Amino acid sequence: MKRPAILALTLLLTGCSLWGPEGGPGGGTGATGPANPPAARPVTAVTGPDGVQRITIQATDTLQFQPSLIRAHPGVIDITVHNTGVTPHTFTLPALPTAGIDNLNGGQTRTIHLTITRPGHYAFQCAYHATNGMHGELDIS
Amino acid sequence: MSPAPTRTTVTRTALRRAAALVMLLLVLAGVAPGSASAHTVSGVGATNFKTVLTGITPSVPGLTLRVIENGSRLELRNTTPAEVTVDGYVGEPYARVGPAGTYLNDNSPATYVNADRYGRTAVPAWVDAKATPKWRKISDAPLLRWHDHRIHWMLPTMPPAVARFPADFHRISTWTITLHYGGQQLSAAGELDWVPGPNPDGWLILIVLLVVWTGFGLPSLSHRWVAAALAVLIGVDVTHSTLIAAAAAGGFVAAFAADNVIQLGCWAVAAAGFFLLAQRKTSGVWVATGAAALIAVASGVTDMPTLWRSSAPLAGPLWLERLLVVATVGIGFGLVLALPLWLRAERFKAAQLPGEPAADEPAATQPGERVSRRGVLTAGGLAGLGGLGAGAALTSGSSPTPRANPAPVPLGRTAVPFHGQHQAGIITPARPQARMWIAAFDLAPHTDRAALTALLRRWTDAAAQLTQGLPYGTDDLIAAGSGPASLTVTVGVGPSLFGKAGLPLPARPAALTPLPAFPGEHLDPARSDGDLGVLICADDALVVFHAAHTLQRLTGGTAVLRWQMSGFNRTPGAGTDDNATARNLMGQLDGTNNPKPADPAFTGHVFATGPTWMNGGSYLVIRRIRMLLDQWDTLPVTTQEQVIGRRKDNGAPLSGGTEFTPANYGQTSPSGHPTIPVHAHIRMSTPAFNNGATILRRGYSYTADNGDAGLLFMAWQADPRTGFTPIQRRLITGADALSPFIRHETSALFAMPAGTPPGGYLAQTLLES
Repeated sequence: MKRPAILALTLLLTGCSLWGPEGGPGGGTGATGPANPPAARPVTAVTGPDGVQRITIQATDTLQFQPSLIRAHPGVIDITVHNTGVTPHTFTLPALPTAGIDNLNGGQTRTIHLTITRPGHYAFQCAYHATNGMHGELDIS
Repeated sequence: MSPAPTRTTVTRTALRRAAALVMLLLVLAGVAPGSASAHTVSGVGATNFKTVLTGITPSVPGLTLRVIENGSRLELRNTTPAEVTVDGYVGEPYARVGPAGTYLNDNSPATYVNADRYGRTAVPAWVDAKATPKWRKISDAPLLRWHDHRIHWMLPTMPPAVARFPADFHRISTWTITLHYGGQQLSAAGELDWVPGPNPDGWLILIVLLVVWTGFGLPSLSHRWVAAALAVLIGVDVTHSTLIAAAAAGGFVAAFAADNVIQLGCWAVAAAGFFLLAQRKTSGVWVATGAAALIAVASGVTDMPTLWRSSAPLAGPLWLERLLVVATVGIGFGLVLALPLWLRAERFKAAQLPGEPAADEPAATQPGERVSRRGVLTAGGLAGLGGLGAGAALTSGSSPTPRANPAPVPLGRTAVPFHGQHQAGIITPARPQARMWIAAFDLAPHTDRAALTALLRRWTDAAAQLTQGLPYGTDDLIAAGSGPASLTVTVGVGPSLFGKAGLPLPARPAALTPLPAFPGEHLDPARSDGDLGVLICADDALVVFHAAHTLQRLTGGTAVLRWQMSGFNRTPGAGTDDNATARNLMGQLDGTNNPKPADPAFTGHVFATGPTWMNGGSYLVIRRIRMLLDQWDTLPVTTQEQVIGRRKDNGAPLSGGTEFTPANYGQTSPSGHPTIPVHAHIRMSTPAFNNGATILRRGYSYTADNGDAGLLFMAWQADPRTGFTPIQRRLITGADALSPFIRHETSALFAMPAGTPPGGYLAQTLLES
């Protein structure tokens, strides 16, 4: 006869899974991002035998570019963006407004060819998710 | 009446239902993470994220932009004569809003991405933000609502800063949306913040209290309270769901229907529960509990984050939303907790009343406690309308009644309520108890009103305790180990009390005038009349003696015993059918033609309406009627039946039918004689030939030395002048055929005052007049 009460209590306790990413009282039990996000490690584009530098960036459903910090030298750079999730993204370079990818649906892959001669920090972002932290930087040196 | 279910059947039924309820909860547990998720508006429920629009620069009168649905969408309204264009994410035109209506650019990825709160859509491959816009009209109204992903948090995980310090305020981002109006560029700017919610501990404690209060309070109460609790729960849930759906911008009905699929199902189940509860069926408690459990999970637990988050979508203040959620969880799980306790109480009741219906039969009730179907439905409707108001009513209206001490045997555990409109022992319990003691007391000389008042107060206090199985004063332990065994103590005053103890003779009601002398009677004055009358009945002789002895001791010299008599009736459980009419010592079924509590005139026949102290009281005529059994036994059964007018074996009137078939006094046999003889006892005593004079007979048999046996005839009535007196006069003048076989030896008349409320005492309004 006590079963329903026990069950109800169990439901109450497992209810946390119903409460979404913001979690239970105190924000404790829900899924959270990394507590201490590791500082982004720069990745250098690989120069091929044809002299073209190549790099592949993954755009994820956790609204991140991986890697988000790219190093390259002035010259021709092929950036391949692979959307690993289901959410559409863009790959937008505000400094080079015509060069980016306006929309990349989930599962799609697209490559852009950039020719950059001037060294500097070129920011890129997903236009949809920039306010959610989906951005990165291309360092040309 | 179907036979009472055995304990095994009851248990098996309960187990089957418990299994069904557990299944239901398991299914629910499986479904819950999917469709039974929290109430949301456009995908947003309770959250700590807060989207703020700081303003549009420059501002344009008639052009309004606002954040709606707790940050889920933006709403742009343009009542100016010119058109406004909203930019998409990469600077392309996304939407046009103006006098001509509202258009979306099918070449803008925003058209697709903005359709979903989390942007989980696909943009068609041909879409090209840089190409010429492909405008498509979506509405004639100059109004656009869209999920702009720049304004809210898109991730299923928390921002790192929030994850590290969830209790702190964080500015997550600032956002800008560009609009174009009349060749001018407008900039709408705002912020996305993390605003920590309040500490929910107070609300959580309130939930626990509500669960405990509902869970432990309800089982001791009637079906009516389970129905009321369910009605409050439904009322709260309807209010809750309605206020949330009302927060959706546009399309209340669609928002309500989409967000309350499970709730609508629950309300349908609850309606079935109300129907069954109105019929006082135990299954109604199960259905009500099932519905309550579903609602508590679907609308309560899933929405609990509202208690510790800083915002929630609701067309009303946030405290109201929190209160509604607390009530949903508290009452819902309280009902679930109440179920096993309720079932235990039901089994307890079923064990107490072996002949009473149990399980799925309507439960045993006291008259007046029966709950009408309309009453339940009205309660449901009112709660639906009133919601919390009804909750408040429930809070103030219910207090669990104290229970009697459990005792070793079920028969002994039964307690008859002492307090009430009428004294117990007149029509309660429904079946007269097995044992009875009646006595008259005379006031000691020079007793004043204060002493009489003190005596009645002592008797009242003792009766209130003993009838509930509780000790009073220094217990003599005579009935230790026994329960109340349906003990009733009924106390009244005789005609001779007036003129004593400061009660003037004119204060005596006319109905309490001493009975007239009837021709041919030789009454024993020493065993008749008396100033005070005490009637004690119970299903056990020790319990009766204990109560009688206690009350006698309590007289303390104020009153002295004048006479006492003891009687007996069929012991509960001794009969094949305890509800059948019992037999007297002549072997006749006695009491067949008694007025039934269901008769509309019943109360008018049995209970007086005045003076104040007798409003709800009743007059008792007690007569010791000796049966001359030696003579009676010489008669053949057919002659005995002619004397009474009924068959001896089954009590049917001689005019035919069964026990309760009305007698046909006009019927004649083929030889021309009335089938019910002219002097038959039932013809003489029937109300039909006595101007409707009606009495409630509740007599007991007695035996004494030397073959002395008979009936302690007791008749209850609103007024003996229209009850016992005319009937008795007619029995004598009409030469009742039974008269030669019986002899009235004693007689007394007592006015048994109305019942007492807790804290009062018997005859209080008489003595304080």
